Amino acid sequence: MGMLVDVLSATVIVYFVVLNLLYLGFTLLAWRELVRYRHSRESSPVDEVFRSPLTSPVSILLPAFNEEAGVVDSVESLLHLRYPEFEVIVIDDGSTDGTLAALREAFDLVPVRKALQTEIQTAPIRQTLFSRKHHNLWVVSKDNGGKADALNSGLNASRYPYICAVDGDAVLEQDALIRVMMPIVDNQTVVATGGIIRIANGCQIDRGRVTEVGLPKSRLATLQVVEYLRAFLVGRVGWSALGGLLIISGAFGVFKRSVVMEAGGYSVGTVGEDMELVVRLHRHLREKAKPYRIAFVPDPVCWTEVPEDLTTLGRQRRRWQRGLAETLWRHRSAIGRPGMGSLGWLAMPYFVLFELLGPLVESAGYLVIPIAAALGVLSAEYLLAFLVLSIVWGTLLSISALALEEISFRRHPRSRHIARLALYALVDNLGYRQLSNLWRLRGLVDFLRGKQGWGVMHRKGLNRSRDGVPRQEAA
Amino acid sequence: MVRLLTYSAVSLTCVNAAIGLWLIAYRLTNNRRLRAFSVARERLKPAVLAWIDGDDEPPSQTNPTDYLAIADLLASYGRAVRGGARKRVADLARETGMIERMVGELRARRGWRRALAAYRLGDLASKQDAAQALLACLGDRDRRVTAASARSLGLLGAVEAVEPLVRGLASGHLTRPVGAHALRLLGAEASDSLVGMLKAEEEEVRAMAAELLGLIGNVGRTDQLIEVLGDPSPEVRVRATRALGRIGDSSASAALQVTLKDPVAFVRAAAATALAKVGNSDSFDQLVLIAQNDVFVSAHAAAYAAAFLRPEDVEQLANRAHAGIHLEEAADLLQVVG
Repeated sequence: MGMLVDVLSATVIVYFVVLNLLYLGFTLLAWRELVRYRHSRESSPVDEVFRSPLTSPVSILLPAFNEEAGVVDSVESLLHLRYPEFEVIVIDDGSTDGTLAALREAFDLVPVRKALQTEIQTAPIRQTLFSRKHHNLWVVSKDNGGKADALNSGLNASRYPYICAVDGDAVLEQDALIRVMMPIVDNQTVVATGGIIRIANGCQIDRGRVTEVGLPKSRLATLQVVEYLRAFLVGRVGWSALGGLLIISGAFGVFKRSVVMEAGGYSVGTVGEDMELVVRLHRHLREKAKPYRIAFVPDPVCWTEVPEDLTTLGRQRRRWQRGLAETLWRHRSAIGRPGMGSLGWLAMPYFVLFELLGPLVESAGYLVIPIAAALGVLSAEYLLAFLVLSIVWGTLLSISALALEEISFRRHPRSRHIARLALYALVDNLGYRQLSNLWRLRGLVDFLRGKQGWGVMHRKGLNRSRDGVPRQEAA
Repeated sequence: MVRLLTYSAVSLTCVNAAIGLWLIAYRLTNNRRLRAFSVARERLKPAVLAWIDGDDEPPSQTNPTDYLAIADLLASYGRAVRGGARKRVADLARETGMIERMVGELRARRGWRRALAAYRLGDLASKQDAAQALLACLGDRDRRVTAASARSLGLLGAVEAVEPLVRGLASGHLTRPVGAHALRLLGAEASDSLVGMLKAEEEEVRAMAAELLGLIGNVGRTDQLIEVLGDPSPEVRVRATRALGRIGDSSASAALQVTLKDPVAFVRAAAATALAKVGNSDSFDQLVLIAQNDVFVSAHAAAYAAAFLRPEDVEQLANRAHAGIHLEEAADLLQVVG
């Protein structure tokens, strides 16, 4: 038994050291990239791209299932985007609340028979509607089939060469689309790009525009602000630089339509349809030996609401982990396969070892403690030193993400917000991290048990004008 | 082992504290710098405006912040004004040494610095000051620099940049919308060079030249574009078709009607749209036929074109059985949009 404890502790320590060195490497890489990006922003020809008739038009797809509370604001934010030519296609995925009625009323929708392509099979379409007020707004009403199915319906209805997938409760900044399109405009081999997701809880939003950036009142949501900064400004920037970006958030991502169609559209059999699509695009293009790039752009902002209660957050994290497991399992044959480049040799092995199995190893670490204590082989000094080190290291990563935010975008103009975030960066390793680990572990169990579906989400809507409305996200 | 862990934890705590302190210091100094810049900008704004309006007294600068504020003001006004006022902007930029400094920066080691200098020269300099240096930058290895140089050459009206710009666009080394916008700014003066390039050996150059002729919109170039409709490359044909639609010269109608029979669907779609733009109602029957029988992309374009040309007829057609989904959509939209 003592031997087992030794092996377990050695595994946990090696794992801890490797993982944190990798995180540190990503932080340094992200630092370099963000400094480069910040400098380039001043000479970025955004105005010329906006005025040029050669800028590719974009179809924005917004799948909505029971998004009555926030969908009108989201669509408003899309209609105000600064982009030369685009259409907005809202796909009402068989909502049972007032989503469609709210859209009808806000945008003066009337039924129009729309010619839809049938390249990808979807649940039946009930009706297509067109806005009298905004001649670039369509609504496709369909039977419920889940988010991926709704996005596929949007793909069939879209008519422009690029699609931008946006969540039903997301609010895009006015320049977000043009900025996320910049890598595509600049280089035709870029087939997909994603922008940064920031947390809208606590921000002032007026008619689909963030008018004042604030911090959430809820402690849980504030912890997520730090977490999102770490994930996007370190993780996504780093992986993008290495050519191994596996996730473009479903809340805001642009894809070349023809490539998505070639690859078969969104996969309906997973809750991680955003990651699954990106991994499939990597594989598809590598198998065809086509030059391509999938990029993350740290500047264009999509604001979204995050859960403020443990139950909803826990469900979300379990679902994310299940989605990750489903995607990695589905594409396991790409790991270590010749010709798969950074996907098969770097990104996927990393995601399996550290993102998928991370919760298992971390939990093993926590398990070792009572076992070792029971066996009388626990060194209290050692345990304390290791715990302190892991917390301090975690804090270093969080505070570095804050520093990255400060040198690059400074989205939080008030100094006290930064001070508050710094404080949360200190404490997010004390409890929140362990809780996240537990949720991820349960997500892994859900995957092993073959669980399907999305679970219940509680959303208040970004304008905070109404009480929370509990809803079912998708069947 | 315990000692190693303890030392590591203590070291990392120090690093954390250092980053925390740096964060505070960075924010404070940055805030102070931004405030000083904003104050200087407001203070110097009237003097800069007066200079642009013809005042003989240049704005005084007493420190580096003033210099940056003047540069920023000149850049924003330089983008907005033309003619004599634009010349005054360039004069002041030259007098204060900004142009010389930026031309020097075009040789900087870091790409972002070269790009920034190239970008600012477009706002501040005159053609004589910077065109040659910017032309050389079109071959820069950094795409940010080529894009910024193209933009500036367009703003400065440097006609000699037409050929390198088109070649840069065709090779993919130059960002398409930026290069195209620059060529549009150069306007009719770019047309002669572009017509020459319609016969270039490279397919990409021919395609780009055709597209750009359409963007410049010179009616006198219709014949040359019609000739290109017979090009072996569908990419060239589609761009020439689009260009003819943009120019909107009705003398292209017959050639565009022939293009409706092109073997490539995208070319047929472009021809349908172009016929709507030139206002050729004679092609209505042919467009309806395509809308009802062709593949999605060309059928869709043909239905919209037919609805644009003869809306009442499309509405009537759509009421009949088997009108086809594209004509139905077009007719429904006519009801809504009018």
